[in-house]
Amino acid sequence: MKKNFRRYIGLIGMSLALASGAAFALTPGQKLPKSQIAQWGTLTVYDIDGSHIRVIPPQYSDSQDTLVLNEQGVVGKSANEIVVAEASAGVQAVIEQTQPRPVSVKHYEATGITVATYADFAQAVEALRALKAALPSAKVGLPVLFTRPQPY
Amino acid sequence: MNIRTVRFALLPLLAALLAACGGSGSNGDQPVACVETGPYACKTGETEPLYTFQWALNYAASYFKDFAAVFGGGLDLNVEAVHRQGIKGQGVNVLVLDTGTDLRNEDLAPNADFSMSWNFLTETDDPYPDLTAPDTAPHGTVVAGIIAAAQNGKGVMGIAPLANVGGANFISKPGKIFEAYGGAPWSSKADVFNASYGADTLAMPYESDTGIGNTVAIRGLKKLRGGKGAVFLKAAGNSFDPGLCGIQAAYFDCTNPTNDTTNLEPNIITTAALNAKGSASSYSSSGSVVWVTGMGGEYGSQGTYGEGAGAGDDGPTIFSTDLRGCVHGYSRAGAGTPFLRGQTVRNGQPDNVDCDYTYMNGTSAATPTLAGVAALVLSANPALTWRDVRDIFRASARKVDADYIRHIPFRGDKPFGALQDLATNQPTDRIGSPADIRDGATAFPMDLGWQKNAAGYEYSNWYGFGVPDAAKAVALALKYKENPGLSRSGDVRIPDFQPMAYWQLNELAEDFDREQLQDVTVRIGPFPYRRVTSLGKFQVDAQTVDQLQIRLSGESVCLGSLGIAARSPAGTVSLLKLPNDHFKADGWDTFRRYTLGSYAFHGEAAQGAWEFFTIASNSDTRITVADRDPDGNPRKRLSEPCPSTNDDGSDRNFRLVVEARIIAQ
Repeated sequence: MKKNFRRYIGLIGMSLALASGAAFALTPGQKLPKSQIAQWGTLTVYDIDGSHIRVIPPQYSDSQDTLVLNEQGVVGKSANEIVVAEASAGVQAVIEQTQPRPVSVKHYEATGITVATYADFAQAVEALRALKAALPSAKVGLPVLFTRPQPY
Repeated sequence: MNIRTVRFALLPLLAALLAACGGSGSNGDQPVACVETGPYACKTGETEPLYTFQWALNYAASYFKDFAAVFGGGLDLNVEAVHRQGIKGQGVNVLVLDTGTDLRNEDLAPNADFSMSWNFLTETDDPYPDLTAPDTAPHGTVVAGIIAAAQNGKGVMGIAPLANVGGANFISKPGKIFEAYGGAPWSSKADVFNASYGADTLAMPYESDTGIGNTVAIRGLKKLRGGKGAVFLKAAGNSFDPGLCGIQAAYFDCTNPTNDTTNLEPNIITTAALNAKGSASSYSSSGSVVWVTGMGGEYGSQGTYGEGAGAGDDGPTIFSTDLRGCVHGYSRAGAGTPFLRGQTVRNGQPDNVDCDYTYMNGTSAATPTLAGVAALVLSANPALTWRDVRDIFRASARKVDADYIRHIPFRGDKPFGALQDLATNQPTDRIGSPADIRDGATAFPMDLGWQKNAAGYEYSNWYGFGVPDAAKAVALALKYKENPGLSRSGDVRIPDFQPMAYWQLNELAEDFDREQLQDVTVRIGPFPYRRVTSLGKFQVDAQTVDQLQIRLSGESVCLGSLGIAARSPAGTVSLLKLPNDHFKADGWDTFRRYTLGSYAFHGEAAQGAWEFFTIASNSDTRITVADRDPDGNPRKRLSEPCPSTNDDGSDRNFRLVVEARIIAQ
């Protein structure tokens, strides 16, 4: 009985949140129903390597990270980062000199991985294209966390 | 150089001498040339008060041997022979990436390395977990104890009780993968990583621009240990249950370990779980990327120490350390059994009065049993590469549960290896075989059991290559030391995927770029549900197989009704994905670069024609599934529709692209 009541309250809460545009928690891996996505209206869409990635309005993110949706309506999270691996020396300089300029660049010496952070998702997408061209033999990507690991 | 380092440097040589002398003495007898010093030198875990419950370390003498309903016919990891040599993980750094770890537990503190630890929430070197998630907070502390609980006359015995152990609450901040996977100074120290976690419910793209994070981070692990590569053990998952695949018996893994794309990387050792009766733990995920099997047990929900039989799939689990005290942890006031409540007394002594010890099941528990073995192996021979350790695990593994496909699941009435009818989606009475995977077949075997491939390796989707034997593994490590030419320092070769099949409903458009389809099998027509259909041949040049990978992209293709099988030029058959899995529950019908892998062909000559098959079930039937509503309450519901036809009865338009590659040794 209590559980049913709680669920009823929960649904009301969600409806109100959607109606008012207030933020509620979204986490990577959640699959959202089409009706919920439709409430956001037209979302900005990026074609990344053939995937249509939609950007969720920023008020639904609890950090500087960007929340996105893939084609299946699964929520993902991007730190607006570009990762570069298997690159030759000097990769940091290339990243720093390529437009758009990153907010910061971090190199992990032990594993040979470089991560550049951009001001927003749009800049990260732009940087992905630019760095792929500038570093054709490297692995360059824009990691999006679509799943959240669970303890087994 | 500290004393421990000196001992470590001498250890392989002395161990080799011991082995050459035909053994190292029996338990309780101090060997003449013991490589270990101190009060516990070359002693087994019998010095630890809870050792009798650690059936994974000593099966024959276990407390549980008197409980035939849940124990018998099983085996242990054969670590005692290694411990008697004084090889206990000295000099090896093991990092537990998990929910966090209480490194100040009395059984972890002696081996705790805070310089190999990190708390992503507090940004300190103390990885004590976040207690706001009480169900998972103790998880990492249990994992750490299974690997490296100290031999100190207290509590339990770690499999590598002299290994250094660190922890990090990576699960709380999975976006920090580049720091956690060897990039940060603290994680770069690790020789062995334990990852008792995963995410196996989505069909995510592999090697795509957005899915690159895991792939890059894992491949970066190969640079650690001076280029020898870190050893990374990963849990297969606990999804061998009905739930999203229906509410009847579980005949196969409802998800697939390959759904976690990290398990596709060859430098990941994906680990399944065994119970105390020598069979797969009832929940242990199976699939063709499983490499080996560790000890996970069942649920331990009945009896005083988890020895009760319960409803039919219960039995003992794996004992280990817990968060200190009876307020937090799996052992606490109000927990399910007297031991977990800190109420047990043996030989007149309370044995868990402070609730500092507990037990846990899962592939989460099985994985650290083998992380411990990996630490023993590297302790014996620190020069081994990641590939060597993986090879040694395979070579030392024992075949278990030989006839498992003839067993009948709990609440079921057909064997695990039965054919399932592709029209009714129901199991039949007949056991299947590789020969049933053929074009036009209308039923498929749900499991093929153990199969010997053309390289002579026996492989099973349930167990991988089997259960490693620690004594044999350490002996192999020492053999590699004597003959470094056995070592494989080079990386596996990972080529690009090659397209091999293109299917769609309608004829190709006039402007379709047909050059793309060179060497690709094109099939025009309705999607062939309810039958097995050849995807065509895939030609491969001369090389030796490490892993086969098949990548799928589809639109309006019912992924939950789609299975995939492969036959190698040598005739070995592997089931890479089964139809009627959890994707059916949500009617999943669009996927890009969803990738499957198989080690069933490992070591075979790749050259020749490979044949791949779809195994497509009846997508028009809907099933009742069990899951949770948005509030977390259990519910039953119908699976989402994924029809093969449109509302007017016409065939549904679709597109399927299949790519493949051989990762070569």
